Amino acid sequence: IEAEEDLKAAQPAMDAALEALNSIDQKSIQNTKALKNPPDLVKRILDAVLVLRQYPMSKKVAWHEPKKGQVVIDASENWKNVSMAMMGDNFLNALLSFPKEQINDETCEFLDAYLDAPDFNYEGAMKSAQAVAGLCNWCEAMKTYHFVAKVVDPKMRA
Amino acid sequence: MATPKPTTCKEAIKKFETAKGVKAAEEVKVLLYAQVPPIEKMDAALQTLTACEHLSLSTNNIEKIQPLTGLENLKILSLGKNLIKKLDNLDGVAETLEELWISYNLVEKLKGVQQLTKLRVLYASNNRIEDFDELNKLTELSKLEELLLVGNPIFTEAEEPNAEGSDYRLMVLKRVPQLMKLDGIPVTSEEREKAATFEPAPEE
Repeated sequence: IEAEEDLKAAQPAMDAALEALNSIDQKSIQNTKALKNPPDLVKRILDAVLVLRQYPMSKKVAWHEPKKGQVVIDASENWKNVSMAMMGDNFLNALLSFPKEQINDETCEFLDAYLDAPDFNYEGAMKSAQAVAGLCNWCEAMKTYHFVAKVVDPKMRA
Repeated sequence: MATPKPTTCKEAIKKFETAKGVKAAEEVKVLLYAQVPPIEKMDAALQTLTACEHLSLSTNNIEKIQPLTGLENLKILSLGKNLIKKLDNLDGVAETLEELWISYNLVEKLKGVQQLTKLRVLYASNNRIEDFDELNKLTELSKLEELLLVGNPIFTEAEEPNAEGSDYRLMVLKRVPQLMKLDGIPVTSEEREKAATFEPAPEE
């Protein structure tokens, strides 16, 4: 019973994830994919999705300053990987059926490097990355789900 | 534009202390991930982290693991997203280390991992492991429960690597039968039995 109570704590994260994906349509994904050089935040958002899906990424970490005073991870190197491999026709479906129970602590630490940036959230993304703004919430929700489920899982097995 | 100097471990520790309002030497979890500019060298400043159980150095540009003497309580070493080629210099933490997170590096060989007798978790996705026999170095690690190899050549070259009972999973489990979880997916007892006697079909 305790485990069931705790699982309820994960429900808001799951609702948020679904709502985030429902806020995106396939057409805006196609349009984003077609961009040769999308806004910096779009690249970082898709980079974070890449991390969650454990896709290959360029190895050397780079930072840059797209806006004065705001130093963030430079995700340009990965953009080609993202648009080629990840953003196919099935992109949204792949996220809807994403195996969230396979997320691990290490992946969440990689995610934090993106989530720590002050503009990496829905409000920030609505300014320059509207088409994929929902994915900020999705990333956040996946991380929340992992840490809630981590507490619940041993109790479920007990 | 001149390349900015890398952040030293000493500077990273100082930043962590200022941001959290703590003394790093007393902290159980020390987060030095994603420094700007990235850390390139592990140095002696890390030896001051005597209470540390979880040391995070991920998302930097470290090329080599340096000896971690003085970290007598270290359980989780997080080095993912760096430029590390070899699992060198882990003997200082071999007695205590339970989790090694080293995904997104350039590791090809697992030499050095076999001394980590307490190891429970090894996350090594997106490295350069291309030979299943490298996994023989994990055979003796009796506490190892969880292994992540997604995105290594041995994984990417397999057909449907994540399907239950796939040749790839059996090849791994044959060498590391103690695993409970492989690539985030629980290992079933049927799978483990099947792996024990598995021989890959000879190449034509």
